[in-house]
Amino acid sequence: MTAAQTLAAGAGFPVFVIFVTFVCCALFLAILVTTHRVTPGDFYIGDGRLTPLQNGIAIFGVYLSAATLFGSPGRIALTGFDGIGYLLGPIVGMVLVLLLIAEPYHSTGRYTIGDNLGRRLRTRSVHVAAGLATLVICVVYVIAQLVGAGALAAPITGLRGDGARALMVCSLGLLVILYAAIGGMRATTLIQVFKGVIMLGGGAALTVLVMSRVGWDPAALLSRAANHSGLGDGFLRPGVSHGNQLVGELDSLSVQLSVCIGAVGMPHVLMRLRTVPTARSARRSVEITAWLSLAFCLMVGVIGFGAAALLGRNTIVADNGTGNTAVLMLAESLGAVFVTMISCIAFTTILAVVSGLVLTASAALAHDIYQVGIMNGKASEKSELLVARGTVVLVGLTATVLSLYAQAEGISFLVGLALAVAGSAVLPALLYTMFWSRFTTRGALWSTYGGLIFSVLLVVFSPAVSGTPAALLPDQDFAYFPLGNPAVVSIPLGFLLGWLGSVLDPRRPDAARYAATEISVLADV
Amino acid sequence: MSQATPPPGRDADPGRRWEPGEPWAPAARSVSLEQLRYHPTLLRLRAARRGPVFTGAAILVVLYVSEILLANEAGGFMSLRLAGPLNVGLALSLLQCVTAACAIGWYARHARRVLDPEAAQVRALLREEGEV
Repeated sequence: MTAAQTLAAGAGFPVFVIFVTFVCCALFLAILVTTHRVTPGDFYIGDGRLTPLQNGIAIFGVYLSAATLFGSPGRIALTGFDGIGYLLGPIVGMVLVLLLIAEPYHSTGRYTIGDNLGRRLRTRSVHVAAGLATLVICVVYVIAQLVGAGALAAPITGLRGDGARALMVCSLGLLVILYAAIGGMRATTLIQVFKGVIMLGGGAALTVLVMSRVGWDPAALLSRAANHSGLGDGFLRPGVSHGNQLVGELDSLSVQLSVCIGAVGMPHVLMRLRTVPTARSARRSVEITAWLSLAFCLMVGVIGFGAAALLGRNTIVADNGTGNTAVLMLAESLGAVFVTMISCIAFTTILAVVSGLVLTASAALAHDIYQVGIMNGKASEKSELLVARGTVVLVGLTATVLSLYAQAEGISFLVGLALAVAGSAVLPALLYTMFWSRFTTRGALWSTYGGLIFSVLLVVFSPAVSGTPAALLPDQDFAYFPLGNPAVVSIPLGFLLGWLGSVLDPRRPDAARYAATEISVLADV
Repeated sequence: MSQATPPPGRDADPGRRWEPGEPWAPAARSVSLEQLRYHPTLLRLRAARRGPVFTGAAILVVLYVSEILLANEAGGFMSLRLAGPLNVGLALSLLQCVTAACAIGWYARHARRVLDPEAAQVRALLREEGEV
């Protein structure tokens, strides 16, 4: 009997009641926080009126997704030391956002990444490029999150099977669409703050329980984890996940680069930076996020080793080969009430992250592509807002349908793809725009389209899509690229293309607009 | 997405295009902004914003990547025991958490003590220039 089935038997009904109550409250609040006269600025960024504390918690809520909550502890429980990189990556990534991105992004931006690039480059072409990259990242990431949501069907509704999973994905997808289309950024912020708080609380509760079981001794936690892993000291050393082969090592380097560098360029995190009034408050928000991420990732480490120590590695593998159920199993062993708690946190996490992503995708479509790309900035605010709400529905429905189709497939590579595109198509152009005087439009287009196309192509020709039993198309074999994650190639390539395109551009960079951008970056004017 | 209006020759006047952020109209005083880039206050602020901050970011990335490379290439070294179950690899991971915490604390302080006051000076300077 798997953990999900056990849970379904024991904790189904009460969780379902809590879940329905929660959904009703969430929708009611979404309508409540909506102001009567909504403008695009209000819809995308809540008019930039949040306080740093609210925004810091909300960024934390949207930054760490279900992958950190379930994937990372599972990986640590299965591979020990090799799993730690998945926690260090997000920590270092958020510190990089604080140092390099937060203030300059706020002072040179408006709603979308295209606004930052368009301030000093040829406005229309860079808006469209950044909009397309943002759209791809968000849709791919939403699919990954919604497919993960299918796994929550059993613990929340008590129903099993493909139908229940599909029902769960559909209802979550529709809920997000309603929520984001009605409430925009204000409602999304609300759910993200709520999620950030309960995720910290839940993480702290599990951490305290795990530590109390091992006598508050970190050394005992590690020793017990190593003993129960069946691998002895090898569990605490590098090499459990990929042995000693070059391809495995490169792949792990690639994944870890994507969770650190790629996370810096995620558009749904960047969009939140504009929800506060000044660059200074953007910095203070990210400061709060960085401390919270550091604390939470340390807790996740304890939970991961705790799962290995208290349950044993073999029990976890027997339930689910990826380790994604390790946290649920640990919660179950600590008491039924924790299963309810973890299920609610997981549901809120997916709702918060997906609504943030859908909102960001709709801003990319309505602002970058419709308003600037098609209408050349001449569309009225009212029509842009209408398009924004329409695209929330469009993106949400597309992603929901695609995730229903992807339900049974091996799609774990999608998170890596989204992060690789963010690191290679968004981040280089953004950093060059804010800090490099000789950056030109051609550099921006080369790095954005180049990073986007290469990341996608490398994944299409990777073993994640074909050639292996676990792949998306196991019967075919066109896996010419050996790595499952493209980041190690595509991120340097994105930076290289941005530099090369600028150097080879016959047009000279616009010195006057760079001077204005630089003053903005330095002094927030 | 073909560029609708390829400017003849060099980039056309930026002020004529649609601008995302309206209040600071770059065309209105672009000449003075270009000159301002070399104003001592701005040079100081640029040095304070770039030098130490870029160095800090570079240190974090180098530490992060070198731990991955060490784990891949020097498994024996990473497995050396330091105390109880703690080995070099785990100690380096903890060290990265410590450096991350130091970086957050340092930057918050640096921004409050150095960057914010300098930026306020630059804004005051801009206001003066704008009135002239």
